[in-house]
Amino acid sequence: MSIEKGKISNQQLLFLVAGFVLGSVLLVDFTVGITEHQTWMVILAGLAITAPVILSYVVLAKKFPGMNLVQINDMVYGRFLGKVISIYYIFFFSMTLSFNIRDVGELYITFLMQDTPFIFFLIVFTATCAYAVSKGIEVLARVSHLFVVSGLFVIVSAFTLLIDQMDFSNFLPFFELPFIRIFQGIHIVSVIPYGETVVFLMIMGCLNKTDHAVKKTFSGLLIGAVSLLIVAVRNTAVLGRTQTIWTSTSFQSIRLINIGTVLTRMDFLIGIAQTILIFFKCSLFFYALVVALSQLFGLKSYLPLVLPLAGIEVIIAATVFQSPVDHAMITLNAGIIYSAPLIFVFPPLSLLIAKIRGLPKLERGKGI
Amino acid sequence: MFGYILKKIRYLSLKNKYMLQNTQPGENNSEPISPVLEINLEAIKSILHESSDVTIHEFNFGHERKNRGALIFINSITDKEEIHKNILQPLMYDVLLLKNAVGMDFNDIDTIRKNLISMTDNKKVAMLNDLLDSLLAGAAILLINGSKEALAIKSVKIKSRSIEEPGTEAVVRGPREGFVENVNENIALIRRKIKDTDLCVEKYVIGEKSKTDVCIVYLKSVANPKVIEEIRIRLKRIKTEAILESGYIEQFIEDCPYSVFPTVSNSEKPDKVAAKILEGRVAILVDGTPFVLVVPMVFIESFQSVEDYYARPFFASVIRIIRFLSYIISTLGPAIYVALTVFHQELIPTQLLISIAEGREKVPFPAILEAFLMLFAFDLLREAGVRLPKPVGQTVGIVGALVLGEASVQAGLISPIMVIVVSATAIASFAVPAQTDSGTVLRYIYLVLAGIAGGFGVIMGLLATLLHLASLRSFGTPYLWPIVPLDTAGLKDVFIRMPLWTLSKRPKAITWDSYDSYNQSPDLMPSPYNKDNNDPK
Repeated sequence: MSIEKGKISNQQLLFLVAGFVLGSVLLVDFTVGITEHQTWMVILAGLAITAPVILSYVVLAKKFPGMNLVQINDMVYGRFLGKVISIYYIFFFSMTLSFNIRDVGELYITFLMQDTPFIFFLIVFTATCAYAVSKGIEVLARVSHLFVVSGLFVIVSAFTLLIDQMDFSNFLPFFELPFIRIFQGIHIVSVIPYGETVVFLMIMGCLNKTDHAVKKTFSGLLIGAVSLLIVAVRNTAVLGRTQTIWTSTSFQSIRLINIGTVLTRMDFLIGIAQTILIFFKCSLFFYALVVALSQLFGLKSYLPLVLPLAGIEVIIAATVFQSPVDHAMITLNAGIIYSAPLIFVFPPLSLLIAKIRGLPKLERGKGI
Repeated sequence: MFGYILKKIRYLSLKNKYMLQNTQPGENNSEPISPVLEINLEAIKSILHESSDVTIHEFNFGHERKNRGALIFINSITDKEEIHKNILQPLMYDVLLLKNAVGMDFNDIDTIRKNLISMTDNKKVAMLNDLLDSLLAGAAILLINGSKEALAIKSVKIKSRSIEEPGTEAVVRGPREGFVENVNENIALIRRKIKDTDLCVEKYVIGEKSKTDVCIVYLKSVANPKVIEEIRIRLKRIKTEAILESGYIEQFIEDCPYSVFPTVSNSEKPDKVAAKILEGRVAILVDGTPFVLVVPMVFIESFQSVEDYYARPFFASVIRIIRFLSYIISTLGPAIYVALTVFHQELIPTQLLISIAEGREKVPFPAILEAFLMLFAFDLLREAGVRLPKPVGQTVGIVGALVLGEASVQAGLISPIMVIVVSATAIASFAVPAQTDSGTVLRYIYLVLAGIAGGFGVIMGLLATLLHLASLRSFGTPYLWPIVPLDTAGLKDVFIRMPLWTLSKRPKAITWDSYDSYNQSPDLMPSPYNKDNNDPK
């Protein structure tokens, strides 16, 4: 039996995926230092590489309808090994969540409210996420289109307002950087915005119908990828070579908006959009973490775990890194390595094993 | 843990106590009526504690004046003239005119009922407590010696207020009538709008002591049967002493009692209630109040006004967008001002920033305290203005708003921009009457959040509010429908109002799923009659 009783529709899955990928808009900045003006290529290449992996997630979820990742692991790898892999996933969820929470805190402490204590942002933000999680996945899924629409609105309007400042010669020459840097960039992009959709293996079990799940997931992924692309193209076209020296390229490019000295200081818009999009992403991660843990412990409801885990996540987020630079370096160099097997190896492997052992049939025979 | 157990124990003890109270009066009075007149009269007298407004009139009737009877009624709530004319007179005098009266048995209540009583609203009662219920509801009770049944003849003296324009929902265009306190009059007002056989009225009597009439009114073929069943269950659950206003019912049946947002709407206007019934909603009318409840309620309903549908769509859409904006201003106005001036000065254009700084130069308080003082003063004025006698109210309003506002700016207690912000907030809060209550609460919450955490706090507060709203349901209908969950067909009537001829479907979330949801033919777009175009082929 699954813990979650809420049901989500395919349409909502589309918006959930799109909103989730949009939640990483800020993180495009990560790769800019490495891939410079070729970031747009990296985003497209990352999408091309992760597409088959994400396809394997959806097929896996369709093969085990109504089950979440922990249950699938138990079934595919057996009781013990399955639990070990699930714990690995839980570690990944918890770490990624705390990094994302920290992102919000750093966003505010660096750009918007320098004098406020750092921990304060973490606590308020995590408390709101906890509230969202306690309402269940159904509520999050129902409001997801609002997050996507507001995110897209900000991204598209910022792009439109900056059109007069764009210089597309900034993209030349096309293949200037050494391949190894591009490869590192592709690795980062394929793990952080796209590969993290592995959390949807915890959510797709709630789908009421899995008929069009593949189509909807990829539509959502495409919306997310296109908006990432818009952001990357905008930043490169507006800032050119200088983009590598700014702390946040998005903020810097938005600050340049100046329409008749009336529409200026629009950076608060991107601040708001990024806050709510990261909020959405964090809520999904938090949800996945809480459900995975309570499934592992065999609890009947995940609600008792929400508050303790929120506290733990705040403490991790507050203490895990020394500084934003530390954060960026560890995520870029270690984070993408330890999370790679969870994203690229286990789900396709599970699919393969399930296929060989003919698992869903066996499952139906048992009557769950 | 211990708190939980204690709570449980207290609940059980209260429940037992209440059950005892509940059963006692019922057992005492549920005796059958005795055939001996005197015993009945004694019993009734003792139960009513010989109240002075109870009239017990004993009389003899029949051809030889052999039959004895008694008429009991409460003279303060019954129509004495009608009783004289239609009950006493036929029994005592008109009976003499009956030609074949010799064969009639005047000790039988049915004979009397069929031959002599010329009032329609009567019923036979056999139990003492039924008799008392009818008596207290305004019936005259006819007891006949030798009969085991009595006749309860309804002759209520109705002194209803005349139908006036409702004070809370004035309109520029539209009917001027409003509901009154009498429930029957209110049902009549609805029936006059919807002359359809499908219109059902179900009556419930709620309240141990008040015995208030509560009626639910709906269109049988349109309203969702699940919603009606749910309302029935929730109404029957109410075991309370008195229902004095529809607000009691609202608080006993609402879905989310811990929410600041109302999930049951109310109205004083028959045309509004009729429109909602036609959409498939259910109206709950309570005797003694002009406020009629309507369920299920959705959030956007608060921003719609009946006038939107009477005016042409362009103006209606503009006004509706203004209403949405005004709700945003009324909840967020002071919070955004505080967040901007305290935390994000860099976002304010320089010229404006200078004038704000000049205005705040002499102000000794932090912005949040300033905002609190002003909001408090405004809410105080509003509350006092409602309660004060009308001629004084205006004076106090002028003194409070103009003199105090001007003087506090002059004295340097409040900055002039804060006065502008708070008065804009105050005006905006009245543009959406249905959400004024929630807006007032949210305004303070957002203000505190803005004072503590600036823009970040406000965003977090908004996100939490959004999630809360999205999780609310009103009798099964999602509260934020059609925005959450997204229903593109329903969006025709949310931020803008499309022309009436495009709104040919009933709201999907409210009506019955299987019901054919067209309420008008879909090709109603007006076009001038033209021979070439409308060529019948």
